Amino acid sequence: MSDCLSDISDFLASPDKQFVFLDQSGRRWPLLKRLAAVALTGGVLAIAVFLGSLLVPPSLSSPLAAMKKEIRALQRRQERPPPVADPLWQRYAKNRQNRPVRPGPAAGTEPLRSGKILLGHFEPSDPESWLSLQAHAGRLTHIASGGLSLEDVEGTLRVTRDEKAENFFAENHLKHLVVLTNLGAGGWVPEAVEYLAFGPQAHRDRFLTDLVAALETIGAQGVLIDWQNVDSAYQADVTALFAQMAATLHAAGRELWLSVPVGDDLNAYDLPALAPSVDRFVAVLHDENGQTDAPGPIASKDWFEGWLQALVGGMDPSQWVVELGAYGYDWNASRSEAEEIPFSDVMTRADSSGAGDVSVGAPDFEPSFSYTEGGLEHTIWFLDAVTFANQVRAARAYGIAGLAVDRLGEEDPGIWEVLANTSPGLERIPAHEGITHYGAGEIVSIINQDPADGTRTVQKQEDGTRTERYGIFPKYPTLRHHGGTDPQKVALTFDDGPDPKWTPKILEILRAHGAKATFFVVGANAEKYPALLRRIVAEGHELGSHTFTHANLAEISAHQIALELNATQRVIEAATGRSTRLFRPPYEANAHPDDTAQLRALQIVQDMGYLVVFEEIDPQDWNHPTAAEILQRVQEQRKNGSILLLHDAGGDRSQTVAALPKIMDELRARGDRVVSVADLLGITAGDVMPPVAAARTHPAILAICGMGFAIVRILQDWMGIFILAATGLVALRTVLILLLAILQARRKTDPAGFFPSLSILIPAYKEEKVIAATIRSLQASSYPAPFEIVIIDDGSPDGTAGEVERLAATDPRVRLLSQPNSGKAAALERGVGAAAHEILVFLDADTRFDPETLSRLVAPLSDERVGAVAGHPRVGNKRTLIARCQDIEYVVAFNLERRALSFWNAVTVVPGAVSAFRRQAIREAGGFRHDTLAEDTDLTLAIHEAGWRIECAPNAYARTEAPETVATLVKQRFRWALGTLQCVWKHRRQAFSRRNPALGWFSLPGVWLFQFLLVAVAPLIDLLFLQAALAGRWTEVLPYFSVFLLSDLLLAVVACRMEGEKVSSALWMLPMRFVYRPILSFVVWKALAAALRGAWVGWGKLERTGSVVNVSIS
Amino acid sequence: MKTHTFLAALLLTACARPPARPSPSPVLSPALVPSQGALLGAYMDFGEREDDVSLEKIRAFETLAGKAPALIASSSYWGEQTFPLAALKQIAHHGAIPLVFWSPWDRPYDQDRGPDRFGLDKILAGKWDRYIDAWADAAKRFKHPFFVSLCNEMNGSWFPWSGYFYGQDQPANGDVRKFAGPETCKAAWRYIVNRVRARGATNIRWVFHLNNYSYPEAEWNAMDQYYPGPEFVDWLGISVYGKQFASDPWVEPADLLDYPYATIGAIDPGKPVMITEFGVGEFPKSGDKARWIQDIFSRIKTHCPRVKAAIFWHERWQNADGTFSNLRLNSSVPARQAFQAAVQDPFWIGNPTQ
Repeated sequence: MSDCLSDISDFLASPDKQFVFLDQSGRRWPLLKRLAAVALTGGVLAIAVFLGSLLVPPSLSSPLAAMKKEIRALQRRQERPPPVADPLWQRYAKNRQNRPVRPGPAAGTEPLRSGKILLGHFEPSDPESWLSLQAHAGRLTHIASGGLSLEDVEGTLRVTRDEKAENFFAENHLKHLVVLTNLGAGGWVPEAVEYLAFGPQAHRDRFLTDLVAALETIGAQGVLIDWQNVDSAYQADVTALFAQMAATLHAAGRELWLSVPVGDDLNAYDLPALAPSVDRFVAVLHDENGQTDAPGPIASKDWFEGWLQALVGGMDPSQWVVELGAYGYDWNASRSEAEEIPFSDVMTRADSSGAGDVSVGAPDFEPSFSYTEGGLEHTIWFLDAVTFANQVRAARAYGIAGLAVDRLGEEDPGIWEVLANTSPGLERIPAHEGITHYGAGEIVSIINQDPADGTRTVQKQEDGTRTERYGIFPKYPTLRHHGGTDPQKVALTFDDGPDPKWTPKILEILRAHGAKATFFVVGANAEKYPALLRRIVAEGHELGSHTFTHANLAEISAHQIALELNATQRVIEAATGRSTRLFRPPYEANAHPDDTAQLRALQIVQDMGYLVVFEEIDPQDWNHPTAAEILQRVQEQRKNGSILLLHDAGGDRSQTVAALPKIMDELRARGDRVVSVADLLGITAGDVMPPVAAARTHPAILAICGMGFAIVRILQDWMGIFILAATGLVALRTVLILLLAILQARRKTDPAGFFPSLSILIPAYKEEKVIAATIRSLQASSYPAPFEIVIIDDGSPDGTAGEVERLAATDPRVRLLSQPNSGKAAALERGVGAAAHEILVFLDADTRFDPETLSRLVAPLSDERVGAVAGHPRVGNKRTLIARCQDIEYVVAFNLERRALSFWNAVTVVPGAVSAFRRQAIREAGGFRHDTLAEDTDLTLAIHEAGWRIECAPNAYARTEAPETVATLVKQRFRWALGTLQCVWKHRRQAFSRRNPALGWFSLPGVWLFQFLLVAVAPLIDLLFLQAALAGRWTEVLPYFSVFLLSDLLLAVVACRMEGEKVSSALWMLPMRFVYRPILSFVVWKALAAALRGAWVGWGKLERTGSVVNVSIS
Repeated sequence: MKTHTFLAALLLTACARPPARPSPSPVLSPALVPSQGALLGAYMDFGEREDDVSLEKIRAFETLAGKAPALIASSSYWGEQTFPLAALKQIAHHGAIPLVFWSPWDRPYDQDRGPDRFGLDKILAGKWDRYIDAWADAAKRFKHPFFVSLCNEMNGSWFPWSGYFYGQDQPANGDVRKFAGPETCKAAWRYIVNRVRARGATNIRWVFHLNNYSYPEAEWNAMDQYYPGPEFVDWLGISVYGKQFASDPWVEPADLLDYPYATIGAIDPGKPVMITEFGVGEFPKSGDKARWIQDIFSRIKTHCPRVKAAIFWHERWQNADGTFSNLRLNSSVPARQAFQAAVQDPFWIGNPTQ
């Protein structure tokens, strides 16, 4: 600040005791300085502690270490059921009397002819299935997708549609076969089919009507019947049923396909008798050992070829499609049935366990391996591209109609190579971007490795059958699951709290049932209600982190993730003295995410020492279901997993609270045990919520952290309201200014013919370079009446006086008054006293008038009530960016804003650079005073007080010299800002006065709000906008930001139009926003500091360059 | 005798809404005999070992039946060496009374195989004392009163604990008036019940449960030959099945029920009678399952006043020849309708909590 003040002291002769804000005692500033120093040191220390606690990640020991779950391969060869001497397929072929069994053809290499069927089984709920479908839609001809089930003996036809999938099929010209099963809620319902077959005709008729209607609604090509467990006793009835189905469907233009099961179920179908009815038979040649059987091959070579021969060999092969499996089964003792897994999961499990000798060869020609995980033995059999190639080769020999793949998304990608190529290599195993899984449960550890291809060696035997041996298994990003081994254990989790209304209610219910739960708290809520956190822990529950702001991890940076988690951790630590190792991501809590971006985020979380806790039971209680619906969803989903997600905050949770006791009863009725997350994992509560190290629990540090969070929260709350209010006010002001300016422009009629004699007064200090040009511009004026030009030299040490005297010698209208240096106000006062005429025109020594300026400027004074008129200064030196910005600023301020204010007689400043006054008004206002830095504003407000009107003359142009560098601009604006501050303070009584309501309620508050408050906080708001934008929350801040920017732009455009400037000049407003705002903000802060400091501040002086170019505006 | 949940529930229901429900409000005696009507019971297709009890299956059955049974049957096979605590807890918590078929046989639980390591002689020799004691202790800890049908259908030839496999008509211990087969069965019954009672499991009601007709039909194999004595038995029970296999003839309920009811009742006039299992397969070409169901429910009510409980056998299984026996109540639409209509009679007491 001192540099700014240094050149002022020589202008101001002596300190004036009346100067506004002057601290006469001189004690105010040192005291303030000392107080500020103490506060600053304390504040910086507190902020350092607070930020340190947020930014320095705590060294958390991951509970994963305590879990010690080992996965390793078992070396022994797979046990499998012994081969049967008299296999079913042989018996089946023998028993079939209707047709002689043709001998099997020699295995051929005939490629699948184009035009042959390729049917893919598709599962719309599986993203991998979608990826596969999209990648291979061009090769597929038919799609089988679920959708219909006969779910009870009454023949109720349940229709499940997926329109996205249906549209995809249609767009890609895939023929859609809707699968019709006999699956009910609790399993297969063979009675539904049997009664359809043997029941009354009306029952069949109704079913067929429903079926045709469903197929037509879906727009399907036909139906693929997949019925299981049907009693062979009804074989004849089933045959008749198919005849009727075929007739009805064909009449409706739909096809009838039949999935032909092998084994006992086959006996329900008399295939030769069905042949005339069924369009295609699909031989389901997988599931030799199904999910409920003991471990064994899914489609061994002998079994596959035996059934192929038994089914297709005896019939017309062109009616047959052969369905090949493309998946794996993982059997383990903890599950009642094997887990069906995609090929990629098979690879991950083989890789993780270190399985050796995974190969295809005699006798089964199907790969398998065993491993143990957490002491539990697993056996996997799976089908891959090599088994697929062998089976395709065997099937092709029969001249079948085509192939089917069960199912898309689970296959070894190599099968597509087999389908495309007669001699595929298959040795490279391409990895994909998907996520693989192993283990059981919803608590996951992340192995976020890049996908990497695997290899296998493939050889052909003499008969053409391929053998293989896996070398390197492909690698994928992987989730390892924990905590799901005991089907009778279930954990309750509550997200988004704590909440003072709902959390206590939930705690009461839990206490009444003696149950322990886990609360995943949002840090911001936790910070508000530390007592609730303490209560949760005291009552034996666990706390987990749910981020500080409920942030979507996939959308924020790694640093922000760390900040979110650290902040939440600190809040929990501060409140409870314990830290947590449990984390649940907001938004995506399903244990089978399909987004690898999310996986990367979770890897960061895991690296920080957290365990990621997902869930598989989600009744979506946030979406306002009733308590009964919540309970029903829990009942339906209980089998899916062992972690239940509910919410204890974020809206009206009354239904959750109402459902909770019912859920507890339900779980108890099932024989479940409600346990904590730690219990699910088999670790202790201390492992997931260890006590905080003593250094971090020091009460002072906890208090600082607590306060820090409170301040941040309060700031955030108020900042939101402030930004909203500011945006509203800016918009309102813009509209009002535009409206008033337009009204004023319409009203204004030039009262021509008012040409009083004038005294033109020019105060000058060190104006040697420019004064002559200024005087000459006046001499060139077209003003028709007499006028005098009075220059008051304020004791300039340079040649200013000489310049004036030189001109006065040739023109009697020019007069020089000289005085010892005593300030601008004194100079003006002297000029007023010496003026010969009643109407006074003021201009600065560096300002040049256009020839018409004088006429236009004094015209409004023809009205006797008008005491002063503001002219329109323009920037004469538009050479630098800074100057150009000021030009547009001046246009907006003088042409538009002042015009608008004058409509309501609420102009706050008549600029010293170009103005006209009635001497009487100046006298009544008390003349020019020197207790402020802005004597023009001071005088303007005083004239208002004296009851005069103040007008503006927007077309009375004066070219003035604007600062061209940032330094000079800062100096000028600092003087204006402090001067204005002094004036509005000095005339504070006029604010909100009823004498001149427009001035008191609009102009003066506007000065405080728009010239000081908003300008001061603008950089802060800009930073907030920038931070929000960088965090990807563009859409949230864009409306506010646009309002600010558009308001500026709109005003500029309108101002330029009124001014006759090119509208494109308005675009200068944009750089102005970003260059100017920080400067103005700095200046405002400086002025506020100066006001506080109460020091002497003088009139900053421009370095004159003499660069104003006289341009006449036509 | 302690009050139990069922009794409490019945009383509560009766107190809570007497005017709205005109149905009788039966009260259970300590032996779990209702003061009027009969308890409706069911076995609900609980899987191969008849012990895979789940709330889902119970609820699914109740939906099919249109009424929640008061009594739910499941099995405890000795080969598992466990007490079915989880299953029984679910049933009791659901508000029903459990009935357990406690059957001394070993995996793979196939009929017609004869005695295995759980032979009655081995039990009598004390080989399984520890298991019996542990089972009794668990039963005692379970606390809720429940029925146990021990060694059911001893007068048949298919289960390994039948008299058929223990000397049939041979003199027992040299006494020509006694037959070795039934005597061994009786001895085993008494031995087991004594051991269980000695452990303090007084919450068990013992059901003496025979087939409605003896196979083979012979003097030594007559029902009364197997009766261990009133002090060892709380209820008398019979299985009453209609046609189950394609090779069986269709037989109407009157022929299956009347004579056996009279015979079992005559063994001990002081005991209530339970139709411990009943059901019929779906054979649309042989007979009308719906009418059979309707008949047997009404015949029990009208002709068998001592029957205080009946357990419908809801199961579908596959036979060796690949065909199925479908005893489920929903094997056809008319069968289900008949069942739903029959159990609506307030005579059949359901689960008051559901």
